[in-house]
Amino acid sequence: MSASGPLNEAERAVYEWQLDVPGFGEEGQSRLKEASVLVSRLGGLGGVVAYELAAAGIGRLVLAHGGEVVPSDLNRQLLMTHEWLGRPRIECATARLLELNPRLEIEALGENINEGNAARLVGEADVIVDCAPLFAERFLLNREAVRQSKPMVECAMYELEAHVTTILPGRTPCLACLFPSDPPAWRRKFPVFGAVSGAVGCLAAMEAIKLIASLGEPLLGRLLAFDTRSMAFHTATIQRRAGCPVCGEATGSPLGGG
Amino acid sequence: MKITVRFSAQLRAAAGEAARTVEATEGATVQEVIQEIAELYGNGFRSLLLDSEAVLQPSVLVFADGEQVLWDSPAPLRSDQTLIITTPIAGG
Ligand SMILES: [Zn+2]
Repeated sequence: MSASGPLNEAERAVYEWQLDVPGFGEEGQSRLKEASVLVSRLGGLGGVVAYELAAAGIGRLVLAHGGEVVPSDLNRQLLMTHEWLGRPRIECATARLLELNPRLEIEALGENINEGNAARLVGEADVIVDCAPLFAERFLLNREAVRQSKPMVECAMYELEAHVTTILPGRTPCLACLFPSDPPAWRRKFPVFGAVSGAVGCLAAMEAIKLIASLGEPLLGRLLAFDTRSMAFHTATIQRRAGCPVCGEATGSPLGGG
Repeated sequence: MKITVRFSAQLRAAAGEAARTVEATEGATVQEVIQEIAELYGNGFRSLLLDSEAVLQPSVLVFADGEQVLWDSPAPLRSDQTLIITTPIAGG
């Protein structure tokens, strides 16, 4: 992350309520302004991540999301609207984000993470938030994040449950430590309420903000799991896997300086 | 001793219930209790949990007392312990 510049009056006016958060202040806000976050897919989860980051005053979002808006997006993908049915999701999402925050710089790509774009997109981000619905995409992003030593917030949901953890390559388990092979039982169409993906999206956005602004304690080496059926939340430590083919050699500390 | 096992994500759907309390012998390990549990709910549940050699599927997560248990490290159980087992999820 580059050196933080001062805030102007318009920015102070928008962010004044969060500038009062202890441990954040103008320094934290300036760091958000200077930061670039990659959000992989803008569905029920990533859309809320991007929206919260736009609201919080992130300077730059790098967004990857393919396809056109379809009716079944609209129960959870809060950046998509009925009016945009049949038109590109990435354009709808970009328009919505700029309505909220016209100061935001957006690099928008109308395709999902793939072998051809992963390295470049990860290279443009200070922090990555992984919100893709397929393990193949998640593993690809994880590999690239570890290779470029970029912190990655890993969040996911299923039915009424969700997980979130934050990966610092070389310091915490990576996604391949947690899930060393492609889970054969995972299906593209998963049961989902928007409020569940939105809940974990807000938590993931908060993890990204914390990483960028050195605020609080990110979920490093810890997995937060919650079940909205019972409203049970629990956090458990997770372990790096000896000989992990992705992060086994990694020793870096991307946020070493804080 | 009594051990409670909680099922998450696809395992919960396959079991048709969120948790099961089982009786384990003194000195039993987390791994042994999981192998017993695997037989309780039919083939769909079993194959989500274990491979054909009765080894935990590589991407299933097991937690005991807030710590991950790796299959290769035998973990002794305590009376009244709760295990949480979850299949990987990736929904967005
Ligand atoms: Zn790893």
